[in-house]
Amino acid sequence: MKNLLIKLTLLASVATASFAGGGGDILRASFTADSLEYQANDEKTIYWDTYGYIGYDLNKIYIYSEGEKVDNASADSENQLLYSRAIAPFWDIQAGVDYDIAGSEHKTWAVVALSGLAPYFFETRVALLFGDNGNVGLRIDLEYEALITQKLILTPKFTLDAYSKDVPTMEYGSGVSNITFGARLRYEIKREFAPYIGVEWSKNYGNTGKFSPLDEAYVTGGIRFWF
Amino acid sequence: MQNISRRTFVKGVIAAGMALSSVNLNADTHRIKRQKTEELSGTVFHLSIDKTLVNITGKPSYATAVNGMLQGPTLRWREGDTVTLHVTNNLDESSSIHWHGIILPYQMDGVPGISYNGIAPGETFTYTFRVQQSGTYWYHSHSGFQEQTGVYGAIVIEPKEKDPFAYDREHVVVLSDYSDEKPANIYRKLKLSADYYNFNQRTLGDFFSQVKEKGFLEAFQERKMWNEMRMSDRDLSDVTGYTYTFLMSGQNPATRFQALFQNGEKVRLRIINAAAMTFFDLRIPGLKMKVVATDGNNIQPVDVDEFRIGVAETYDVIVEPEDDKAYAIFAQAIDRSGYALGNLSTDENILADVPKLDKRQTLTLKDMGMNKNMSSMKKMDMSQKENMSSLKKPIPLTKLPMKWDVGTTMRAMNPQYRLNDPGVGLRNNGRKVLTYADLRSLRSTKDDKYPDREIILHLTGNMERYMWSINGIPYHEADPLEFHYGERLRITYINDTMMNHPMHLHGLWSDLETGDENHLVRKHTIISQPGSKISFRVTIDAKGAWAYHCHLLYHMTDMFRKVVVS
Ligand SMILES: [Cu+2]
Repeated sequence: MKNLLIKLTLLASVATASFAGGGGDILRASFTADSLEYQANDEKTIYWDTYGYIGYDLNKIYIYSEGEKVDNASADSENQLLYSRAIAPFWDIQAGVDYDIAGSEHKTWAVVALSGLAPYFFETRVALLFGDNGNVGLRIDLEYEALITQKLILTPKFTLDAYSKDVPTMEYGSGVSNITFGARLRYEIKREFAPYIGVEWSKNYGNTGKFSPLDEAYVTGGIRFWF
Repeated sequence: MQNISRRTFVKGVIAAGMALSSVNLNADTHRIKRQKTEELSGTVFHLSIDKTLVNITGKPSYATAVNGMLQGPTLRWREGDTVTLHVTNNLDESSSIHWHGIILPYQMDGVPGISYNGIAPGETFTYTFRVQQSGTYWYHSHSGFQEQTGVYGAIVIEPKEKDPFAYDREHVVVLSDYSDEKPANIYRKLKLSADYYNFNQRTLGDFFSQVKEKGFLEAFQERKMWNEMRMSDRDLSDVTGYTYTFLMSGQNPATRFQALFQNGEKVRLRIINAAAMTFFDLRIPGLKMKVVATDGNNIQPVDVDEFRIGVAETYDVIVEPEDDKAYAIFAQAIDRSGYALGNLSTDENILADVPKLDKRQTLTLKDMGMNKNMSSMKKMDMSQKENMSSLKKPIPLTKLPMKWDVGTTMRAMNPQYRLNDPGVGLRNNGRKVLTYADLRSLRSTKDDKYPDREIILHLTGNMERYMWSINGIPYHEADPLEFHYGERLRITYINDTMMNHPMHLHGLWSDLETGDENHLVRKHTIISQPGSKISFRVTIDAKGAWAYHCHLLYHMTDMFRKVVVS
């Protein structure tokens, strides 16, 4: 991860330097940690939700990483590397690979996703995952930014995961596997840096619930930053 | 709102007392300290473009400036003279100077990649041309973002025959916006997050107070269209006072530009908007301004309290201040995130009271080109304006390629001619505000050639991705526009975005249709209001390759066309 950050920063500075003689469609690289937080749940989780990209107005390479680490255990994460292309004024289509890690297990998927801004300003991302044995996964992320003041921003968030087949080793089960509702309240000290607090409720359903029972509400706190 | 203006003020105050030593003065060559802006006159000029140490905000920073001056020297020419300008580039990157609004051979126009190669580091380029016009103009770099960091200055051209109005004294008033942030960083931030600099966005509180006022359903309905379109009605400026300090003739609001006069004098103010991104609304509380010229061309005088000046436009006004009083020359940014300030008085120790910034206004459906019922707004003017949209005789329309695509988020469904609309923030403010409908040229245009054909240019963009274009096509994908030598062209803009675009055609005059066919007003830069339509005519009387673009610096790279006249 650290290497990646350094690379992205380097590319960003190259991008700005190269502009003087070029056009308006500049190469840029950016990294966003949407959430980097401590969740005060039973397992005392460190959670992250980040993405980075490099590219132009219409064509970009994205990296997404979301995951958690509970006390005294190795981290679980979902990581994607995708090519992203604008297909409509507010929408990008993305395709690439997903690499999931759960404990000592891991799994690779092919991914197709639709990402963009839906009417009413809902940040939306819908990803379809295709695994071996014909297993299909669906991951939906919805987020809204409500400004309380120009710098105090409330972000309700909804995520849903579903799978067509059981993968007990990865603790997924068929059907809707998890639904999470959360809301985070951040204060933008700068646009690029904002501490926040939040509450979240998360529940595992169906077979996932059997492999890994979860139904809890908890408080979170962390920082959001980008560069 | 007041916070920002106070911050600007404080920044200025600190500026005076701060040591410059905190800037790292090591390394490379060609660095000079800021000089006071001077006037140069004659026929031979030596200009150099240097990296220059300045302190505008309280923090030392490097500007790019002409002869060490931020704003550059004012050049005084005489109509009929042949001027020679030796411009030396002391920067470590290519540079250029473009003479804005000056009619000249295209090789002298100063646009890299179109009329010449630009001026390489260490090189001197010599411009020479005959001055065929008079009035107030300006010059600026056309390379990269150098204009933002200081390469601009005023041009005053003495007329052969005396101007048809009297004045005793004149001042050049140059408006600009300065940032300590590097322009490339500003641009990158806009690309990453187009509303980065907008601290006037809709809040939950706004919505709740609307609900309180009108009930939930109506409040929701009112927001519905904006929400569905994923657009903000608070989107007035891409770059704001959050990073900009607004300058008047190189002075920030704290150090205040001084325009002195003596008792009883009539004062001509030559006002130039040399900002990179900022539209200003200028007034001098307590004084009427007689507008006598725009973009260098004399007009039939109009008395106003206030006018909006788009990026790259110029207005000449005459004021008659009363003895021993001090007046504020107050130019607020269109989004009210700050202001530029000058002091007009007989004694620079008498300081005028600083007016309060006006309340911020939001864009309306009209600004989206969505209003189906214009007549309810301005019934009276409609009948007069209506005939303007239809020509006496129809002319052929030359269809141009058009692309409604990922680069276009909005389309004005019902764009109207809005010449008598002073624009968002200036409507019904109780002051007499100049509009394009008030502009009438002094010369008669009765016998001007009737247009041969028409083209329509859509000004387009995708604010979410910070992409700009003409007809949905960015510059690098577009073929040049072909104009034919000797023809008279009618050009109509349809602005399919929510922003004002100051459109500038190089090398040729734009005769704006303001409603009076006999007095089309001659301009070099025409503001196209959001969601509106506007037409002008161009006599194609200069061969060569010309630049044609939006003059907002961060729109310019894509909302740009090369024009070929053959
Ligand atoms: Cu523009």
